[in-house]
Amino acid sequence: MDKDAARGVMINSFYELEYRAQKPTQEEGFLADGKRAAAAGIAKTRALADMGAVGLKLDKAPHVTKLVTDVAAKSTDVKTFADAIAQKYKQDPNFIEKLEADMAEDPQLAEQLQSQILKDQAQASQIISKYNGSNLAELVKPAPVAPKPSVQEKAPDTPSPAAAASGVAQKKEAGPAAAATTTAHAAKPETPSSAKIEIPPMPGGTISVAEIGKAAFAELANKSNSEIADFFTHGVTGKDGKIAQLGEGIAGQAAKYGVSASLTEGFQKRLSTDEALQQKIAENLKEHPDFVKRLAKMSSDESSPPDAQKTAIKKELEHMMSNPELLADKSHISGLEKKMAGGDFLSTIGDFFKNNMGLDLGGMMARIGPALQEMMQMLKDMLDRLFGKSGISMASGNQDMGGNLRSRYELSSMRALPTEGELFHEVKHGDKMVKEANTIQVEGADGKPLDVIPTDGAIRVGQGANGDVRLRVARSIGQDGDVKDTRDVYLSKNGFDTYKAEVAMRNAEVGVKDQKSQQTVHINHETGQEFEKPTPQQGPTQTAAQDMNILNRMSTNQLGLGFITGGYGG
Amino acid sequence: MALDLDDEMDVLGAAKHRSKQDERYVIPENAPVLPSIVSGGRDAELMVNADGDAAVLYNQPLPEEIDWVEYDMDLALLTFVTYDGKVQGLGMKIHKPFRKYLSKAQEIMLIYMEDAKIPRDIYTAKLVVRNIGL
Repeated sequence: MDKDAARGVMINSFYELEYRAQKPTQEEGFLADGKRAAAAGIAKTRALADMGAVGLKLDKAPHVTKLVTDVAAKSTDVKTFADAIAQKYKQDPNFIEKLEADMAEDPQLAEQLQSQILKDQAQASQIISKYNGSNLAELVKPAPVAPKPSVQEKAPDTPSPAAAASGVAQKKEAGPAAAATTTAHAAKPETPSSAKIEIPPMPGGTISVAEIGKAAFAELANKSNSEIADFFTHGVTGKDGKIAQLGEGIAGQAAKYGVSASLTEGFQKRLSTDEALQQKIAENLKEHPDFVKRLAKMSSDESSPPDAQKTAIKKELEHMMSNPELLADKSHISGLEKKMAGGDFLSTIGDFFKNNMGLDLGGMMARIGPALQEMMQMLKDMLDRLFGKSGISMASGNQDMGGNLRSRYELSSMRALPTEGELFHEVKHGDKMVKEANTIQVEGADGKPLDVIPTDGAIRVGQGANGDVRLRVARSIGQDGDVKDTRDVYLSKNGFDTYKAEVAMRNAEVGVKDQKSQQTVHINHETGQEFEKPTPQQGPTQTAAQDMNILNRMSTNQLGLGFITGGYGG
Repeated sequence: MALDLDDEMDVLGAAKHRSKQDERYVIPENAPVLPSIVSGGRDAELMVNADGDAAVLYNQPLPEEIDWVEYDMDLALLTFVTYDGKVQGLGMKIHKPFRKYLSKAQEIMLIYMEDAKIPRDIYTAKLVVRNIGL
């Protein structure tokens, strides 16, 4: 039996164990069918994870790998053996390491084991089942009489009827004494509980080698740095090597985002055929375990990012597909790792897009790969730069998109402050009670009282010669005081002093900050001439967008900026 | 004594660089033309800062994704090229005040502002600046 077929048998053994472990209903009916189908789906996912984990262990256990490979190569059917390994692994996930250590320590013992196992698969399964990490010598002793296949005990939650039916002894892991006293009983065809469980075929048919490789790679997300370095020490080159599988995984993700087949195929081809590049990538990844962990998480992430990010992610992936050498570039990968250090990176970017852009990425940021996170950071950096300098703006309409974008960009630095400990009060609207944000009353630029939400981090956008202040404050807030929207209000000098005193009484951290000394030159798109936003004296509830409407109606050919504006369109 | 020619003009190097870029960013001959971005009720805003950081905001989705953008300084035009090789003008003349800053830009952010208020799609596109000096 070839390696691939043997892998298929092994994963099926895991699938059967995982399916039974869920104790799916055996009732008839549509609902029961659905439950069984769901159980089968879960079992397949878990089996794939089991197989990935076993693959990683075998990767570091050459003696055990040779044993398993030899058994497969010299057998036409490995189900009995595969069942035994799967069951043993579920009982003792470290048995492969223990067996490897024993075989490496005593080559003679390893040879005896190999010899006995190759003689008889049922015998091999018994040895695997009885092995407890310290009794290998005892188990491989030539038996005077071949042990009669039997079922002595079985794991209560993971029976294997196939193994039992073929006469493979199964027992829970026991100490040496217990193992030594195990006696053979007459074989039972099936245990009562397992006899009731009919196992449906694995959903989606067989699992490819690439899928198993992907599962093994996903396991790296939880491994130590040294284990990751070990992983990339051998088996990295060739068309079935680890780097080729990694390339296939990344290309698969890229395809989901609509990256063209020619790019993904080219990328995959490079990573599966260019051995020099494979080696360089492996060496680089050994030195960047954090990058590998992120990539591993990404490989098992089936979630979909928000639509707003898809185009950008696609473009970033296209960049990577066009430049596979980036994976071997030490400084590139080091830069990514540095950005991600401490975990602050993720929350910073996530908060930025949530607070500023209104895009709640949820847990997505924690799961996506570093290349995509870098892209998110790049977009944030670009917005920071865009709004961090004086600039020039031209719009075809009067909707002030630039001002609205800037307003959203600024939101994260603001927070509503409570009045008498409360952010909201209830107001009756018709027959309903609704919550309204608490406000303070200050004097507007027109001398009339003006209700304003006290806002920590409010921005003094500008100040006129008479002391009037244009102040950007919260217009609407969330349950926790996070600012959803802003508005510009125009306060008299007295009104502004009152406002500052009010927020200071609330122990605001930032209180009022000044707009960075930037200028925005507005250009009329038809004439190409600059126009200036005049010192506003609009009503107390005037918004930035309304300002812009007025401005557009008032467009003139005036030059210069007598007032520091709120940025683009603001 | 060896001559130090590092500061000399590298005409061939520049030509080589141009040709590599040109391979990637060439508008196909007879490329289909889409209606301008500013058309059919869609408004746009061009923003550029002193360092050449640039963005185009628009209030209705574009019909196709943009691969790269060309700024023709001679014709004062901003042309968007889609992945399918179609071209789409901005629909606003790039007036002279923008020249100094936009000519520095290497990328341009494309931002779809739903209802002109909420950013719903943000990505960057390469900006190719053409200037023959007409």
